[in-house]
Amino acid sequence: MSVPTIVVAGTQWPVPLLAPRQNRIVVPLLIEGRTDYAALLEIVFAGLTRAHPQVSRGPFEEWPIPLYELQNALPVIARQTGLLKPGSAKTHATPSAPPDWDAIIARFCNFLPGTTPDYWEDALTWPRVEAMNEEWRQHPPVAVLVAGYLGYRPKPRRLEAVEELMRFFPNGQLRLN
Amino acid sequence: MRIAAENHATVSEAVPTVTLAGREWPVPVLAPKQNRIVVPALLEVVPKLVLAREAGGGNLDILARYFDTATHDRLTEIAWQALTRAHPELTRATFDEMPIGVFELIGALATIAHQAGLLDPLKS
Repeated sequence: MSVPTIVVAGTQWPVPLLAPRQNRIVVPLLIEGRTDYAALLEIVFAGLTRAHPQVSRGPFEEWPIPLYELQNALPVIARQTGLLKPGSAKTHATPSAPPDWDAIIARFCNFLPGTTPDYWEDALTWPRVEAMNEEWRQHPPVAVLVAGYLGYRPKPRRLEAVEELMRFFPNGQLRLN
Repeated sequence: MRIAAENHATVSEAVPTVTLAGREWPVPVLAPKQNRIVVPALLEVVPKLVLAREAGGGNLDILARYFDTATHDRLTEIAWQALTRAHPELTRATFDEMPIGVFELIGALATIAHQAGLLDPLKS
């Protein structure tokens, strides 16, 4: 499958499927429906650095980039987030909130020993997330099966426990008879 | 991997100029450094100019005299930013002392808008 390209400063740049490093920037701006110049610039720079991480922001700010190049690049980059389904007429990502990339990466590291968060930051794409989720649905990791078999339920976090306790004593006083 | 550049119109065309303070200034295709100021300012000022022209029955020269200070400041900012693309050494203080008429500022807008990329040559 060929990698789509965008034209920036009169040059064609490939934009592979974005990784969390770019999607953390691009997806929230798309969900917010931002089309102002500053947002367009952020989106295009992030998209461009997917295949060219060596491009730094300083020189980029000096490139001759007409506004229409940024506007034309937007739908391509939106598709490359992986969150916009092919064939959709919409130019913006469809979810109402950006994915929790930290949680997703933590799950991948947990279920795929030997991998690191830094690795997934640049290696994970949304289609990979969906494929792995489907694989884990059909063939759950052993740790999940064992936890289910043992009836394991995670302990509430310390903060949750305190909040739960406070609900019993809404006035903050503990009365003893 | 860097793919060879397409024959993009903006690359090979001669650099257009604007006339300010009676002098011609080249305005190459603007960079984000200028466009982050110029594009929002153009989008703010151009509709006002269009409305003024319509209200004046096409006589922009007369109506331009009634622009408020804020609009004039925006026009000045647009022009100065555009000039710094080819003349980064031009300071705002120096620019503010140049004898620039409001009609020169308005006349420069079309070129600056083009160089900012507000009009896609492939679509227009």
